[in-house]
Amino acid sequence: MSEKVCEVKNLTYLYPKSDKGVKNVSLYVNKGSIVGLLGESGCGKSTLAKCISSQLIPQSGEIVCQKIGYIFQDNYASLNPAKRVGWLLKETIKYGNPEKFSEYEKRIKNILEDVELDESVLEHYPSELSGGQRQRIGIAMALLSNPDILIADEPVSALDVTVQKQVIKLIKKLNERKNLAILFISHDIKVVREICNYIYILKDGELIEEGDSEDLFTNPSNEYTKNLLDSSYLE
Amino acid sequence: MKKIKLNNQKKAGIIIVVIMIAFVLLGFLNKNPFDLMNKDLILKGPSFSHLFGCDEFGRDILKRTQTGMGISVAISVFSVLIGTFFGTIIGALCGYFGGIVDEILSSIIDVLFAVPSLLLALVFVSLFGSGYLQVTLALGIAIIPSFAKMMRSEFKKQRELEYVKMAKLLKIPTARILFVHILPNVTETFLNCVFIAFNNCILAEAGLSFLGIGVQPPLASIGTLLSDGGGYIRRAPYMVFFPALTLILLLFGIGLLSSGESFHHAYSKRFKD
Amino acid sequence: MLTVKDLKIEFFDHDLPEVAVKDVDFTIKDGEILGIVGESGSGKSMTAMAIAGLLNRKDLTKSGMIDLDGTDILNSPRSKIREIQGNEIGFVFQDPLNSMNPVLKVGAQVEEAMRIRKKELGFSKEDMKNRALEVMKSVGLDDAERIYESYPHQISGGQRQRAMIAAALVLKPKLLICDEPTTALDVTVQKRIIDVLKELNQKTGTSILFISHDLSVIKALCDRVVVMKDGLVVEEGSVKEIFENPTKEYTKQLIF
Repeated sequence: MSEKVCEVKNLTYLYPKSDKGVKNVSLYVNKGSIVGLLGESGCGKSTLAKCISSQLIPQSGEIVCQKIGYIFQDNYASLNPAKRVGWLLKETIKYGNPEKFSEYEKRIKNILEDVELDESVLEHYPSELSGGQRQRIGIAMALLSNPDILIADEPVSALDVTVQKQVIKLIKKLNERKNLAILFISHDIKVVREICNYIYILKDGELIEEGDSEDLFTNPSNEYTKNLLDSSYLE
Repeated sequence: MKKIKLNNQKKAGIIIVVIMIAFVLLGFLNKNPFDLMNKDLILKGPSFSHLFGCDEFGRDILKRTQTGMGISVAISVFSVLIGTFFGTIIGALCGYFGGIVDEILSSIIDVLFAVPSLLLALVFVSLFGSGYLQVTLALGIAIIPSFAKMMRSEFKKQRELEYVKMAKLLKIPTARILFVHILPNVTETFLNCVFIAFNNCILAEAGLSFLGIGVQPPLASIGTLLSDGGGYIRRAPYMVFFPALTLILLLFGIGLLSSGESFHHAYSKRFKD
Repeated sequence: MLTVKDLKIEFFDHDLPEVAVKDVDFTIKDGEILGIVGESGSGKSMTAMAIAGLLNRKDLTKSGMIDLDGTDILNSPRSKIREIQGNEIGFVFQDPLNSMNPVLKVGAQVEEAMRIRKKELGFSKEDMKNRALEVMKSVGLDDAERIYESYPHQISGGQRQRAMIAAALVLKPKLLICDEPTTALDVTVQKRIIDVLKELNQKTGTSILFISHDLSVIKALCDRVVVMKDGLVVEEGSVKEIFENPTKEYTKQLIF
């Protein structure tokens, strides 16, 4: 039995004056595993991510998580456009991991190696980088605070297919090398199938099915899951 | 790297503003004192020794225009500084926090906003008395509302962007998020506001001085020059013409600075979609 | 029916010419569904817009030939192009929310193409409404009467996109150009839209030019596919060929 780095028990968060949100969701992420959270727009997957990363305060339920790193979907808006990449990384260390600030240059160098970027990006503004490079910077910023679990909210949805593949490869590599747990949130079945070991399927705020990646794709039990698989033109 | 791209309007604006600043600075080389009266030169038209002519007390209008312009600009610069400082802080707080803070501050701002800034300045001047310090303060306070309003909407927009959420997740202090992270992203609006406010200040100061409650004689400002010249407009039209011309040129130059598109081009996406 | 030959589009960025599309050749036969697949910056949307005659910007230079049943779209006067748009070419955009006017009822927007040609067509109000409802039903909007009276925000994303397809089809164009019509939609909704397009093609024989970044969608819908990268055509062939034997490395990378 491996260690749980993040566990959510009976979590409920409903938006004010509506019945949208997440209802009574329980899930956990083991150390070193990549867990997928799959659902269509409006199913509450981002809400769940926001609750876990304490951007939203749930009405009921329990969240026990070790240190979280967060990757946003929109790599354009998630990096401050007015600052150079070097400044952004430095700021992240300064506030995310202040005890290590004295050796920040070394840290930045290491982290850039981890995400396979050249040091020249430090001098650039985010708008001068490509989408894939920006998302790598996003990942680097999440890693700088030494997280135990990475929450990735649609990290590759805005990217081109070939770039998606590279970023997915990178996330897999980080998972293996650092034994980092990842909660991978996406609407894209192909991407989730590619990367995740275990998958939860969310619909209208409720978990409707879960299982090992293999089982779920070969033997979906729920009608909705079947429909979802059927609609995705999988090979 | 960051490119500053200037369109033709901005280039023209910069040229005009530089000329006007040079005009004011050249005043230091002009040996005619601005307040020396000379009964031989009363209402004497433009000549080589007095390019803009002389006024009803025989004072050199060129020198008075240069001094007056300098004082007007100085008053406006300091008013804008006061207005931007408080306006930005209030706007940032309202826009970023929203909720009850926003509601209270915004309603006060809205009430003040409903009154024209010249009128507002007039009220302040009548409370504090006239003179250039009072005018500066009055104009500064009078432009706070419009600044606060613009900044509020900008900060409100930025608050929703993910880089701000990211900064929050990193537990960066709020003041730092507001003024180090967000502010550089609203420079565009900020600068345009500054230019427009500056023009409004110049005009409002001229208005107040024209009404006789701004800068007091013998000190000159563009407003007092216009008001003095107004009485002699038939006998000596140059008394109004030259100060008015410099005022128009300055306003025009600054107006051009705030026109057109962005100062910063680097922020826009260069990647074709 | 449509022949594109040596199409080249350049635009000027800070007075430097940049090539958006170059040496693009392809044809669409009657009743065929052609897919163009490519990533961002590949020039696929530019090509589609050029075919629809939507590229009139002054900072663009275009050369080559686009021939639609004997009309040269690139070099025709604007009045001629306006006649072709709607009548012979229908266009569906990516984002159904932004391509609809939020203050007009859906019905009015579906009728728009007919309304501006009211005199030539000799349609009365009744005729237009009947035609609009007919087309809306044909694209799978079973609840056409209600949607006709709704505003865009009152219906779902899938319904909006169907309404936009209906609006493009209302004058029975010979060619329907769809620029990433399903990218903003959920997969289950996407599948239904694809099914609607397929059915439409089979029933009416309308040719379709379908632009997408997603090869699997193209595979499900199209007969032939053109792969574009950086403004150039990388590979062209029947969907079967491309999927079974992609000759170019780039095409392989696109297949997930």
